Amino acid sequence: MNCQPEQIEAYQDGELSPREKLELEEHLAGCAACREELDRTRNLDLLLRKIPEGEISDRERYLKEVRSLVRRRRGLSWMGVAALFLLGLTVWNVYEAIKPDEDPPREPLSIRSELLRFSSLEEETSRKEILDRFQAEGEPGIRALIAALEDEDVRVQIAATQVLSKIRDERVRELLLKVADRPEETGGEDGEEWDLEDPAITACFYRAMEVAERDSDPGNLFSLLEEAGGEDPEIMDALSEWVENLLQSGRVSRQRLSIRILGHVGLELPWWNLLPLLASPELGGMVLDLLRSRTGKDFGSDPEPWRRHFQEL
Amino acid sequence: MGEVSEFDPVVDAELVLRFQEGSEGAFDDLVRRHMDAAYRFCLRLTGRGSEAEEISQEGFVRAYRMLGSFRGEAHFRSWLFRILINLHRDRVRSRRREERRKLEMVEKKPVQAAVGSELEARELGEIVQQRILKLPDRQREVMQLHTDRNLGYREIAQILGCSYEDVKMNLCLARKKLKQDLAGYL
Repeated sequence: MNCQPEQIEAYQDGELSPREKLELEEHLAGCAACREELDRTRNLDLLLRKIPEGEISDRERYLKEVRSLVRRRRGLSWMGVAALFLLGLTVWNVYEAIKPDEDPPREPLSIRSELLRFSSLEEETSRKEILDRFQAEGEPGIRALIAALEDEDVRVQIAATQVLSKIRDERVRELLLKVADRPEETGGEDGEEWDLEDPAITACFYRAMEVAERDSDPGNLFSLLEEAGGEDPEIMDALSEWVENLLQSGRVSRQRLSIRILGHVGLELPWWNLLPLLASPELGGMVLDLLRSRTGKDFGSDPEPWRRHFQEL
Repeated sequence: MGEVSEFDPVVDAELVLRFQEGSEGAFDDLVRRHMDAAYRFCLRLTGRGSEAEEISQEGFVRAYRMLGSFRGEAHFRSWLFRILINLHRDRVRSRRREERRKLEMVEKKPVQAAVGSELEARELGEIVQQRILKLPDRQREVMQLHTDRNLGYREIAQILGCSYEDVKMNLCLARKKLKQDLAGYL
């Protein structure tokens, strides 16, 4: 048995099987370095217990505060509905005040097809026409745009986000924040373009991940990353976590998806999850290609030399 | 594993059921049962009492909103801790820059070698806590769950939504870093 620090710690934590425990104890008997490492691990654990526990100074006040927050949030939900109503009313009134008398009757607006058209257009003038139509719809238009943030097609979600952001109305913004369930965040000043930290845009990425998982197709996600999210730390953190979960799912289609993503996006390799897949008849080849291209090394399909290589890093 | 035996998950499951049937008092009982653990856990994640209180209370508010659809596939406590972890991650993300400045300040604070009895245990504990706060997010979460709750790798994996191997690896990396940072005390 070789020296394995993680096994020494698992031993200290009582996580080894009886057989592993026996093997490690045999190794410890003959390895002074590992015995020293075990002592250091035990000393560290003793040190960690010295962290002050901390306690709630007034438990009843704490509970009252939780109750009060619950009540306030309930109130806010109703205020959200009221705000939506008021917003719609305002937009509608503005529209009524400025609309030309000779405005011809319009066809009913098909939200999804308009948003899909919006997403496929690059020309600003054409996009503005669509934007104007949504604004002219008043409350139903705004409601439909907010509902489209939950559409199953990520292109519709992105277009809805873009249209809503261009309206640049603070109340629309508040509603967007509410939709994204991130009330504590604030965005740019009025009149500024919203940046990637905008929770509604972040929500689109999360949705794109869900769609990729459902369809086993990361196409939309890749386009979205190329367009905007490749440098955003939150997006990259969420992607890393998600890819790891896919790898651990035990389902070949999800694992294949995660390997494709790792091949396309420069995330840190979760090698400890990848190496067991080298033995998979369906995925072994893909994993090997990925490891070769990301490391410039080739240790074949035996996971051990790969493991040693990553541990040395 | 201390908390597992201390808090019978069956009692939690009954309280959740009563809440889902309309009993507000059942929610209060859930808060009372878990407020200390939630607060302590958040304190170890954040290192600040006021923030720990805010996040843990926000966690209960979020739990209140989501409890109606809670199906009991995980223990209430694991589920609550997962909410707390997510809330903490949100804060870390949205205040990343501020956090970095604070960590830089911690780094500037000199750590002297151990001087045995001269060093008060409390001060030592605070130094250890500061070193833990410097760990990358996932390593810190794993370390805190392991140290504070004395949880096994599987339960930590369940709370964080990651694999057993992931927990083992992150705990190993965290310990490696702490052994380096706290070498003078080991």
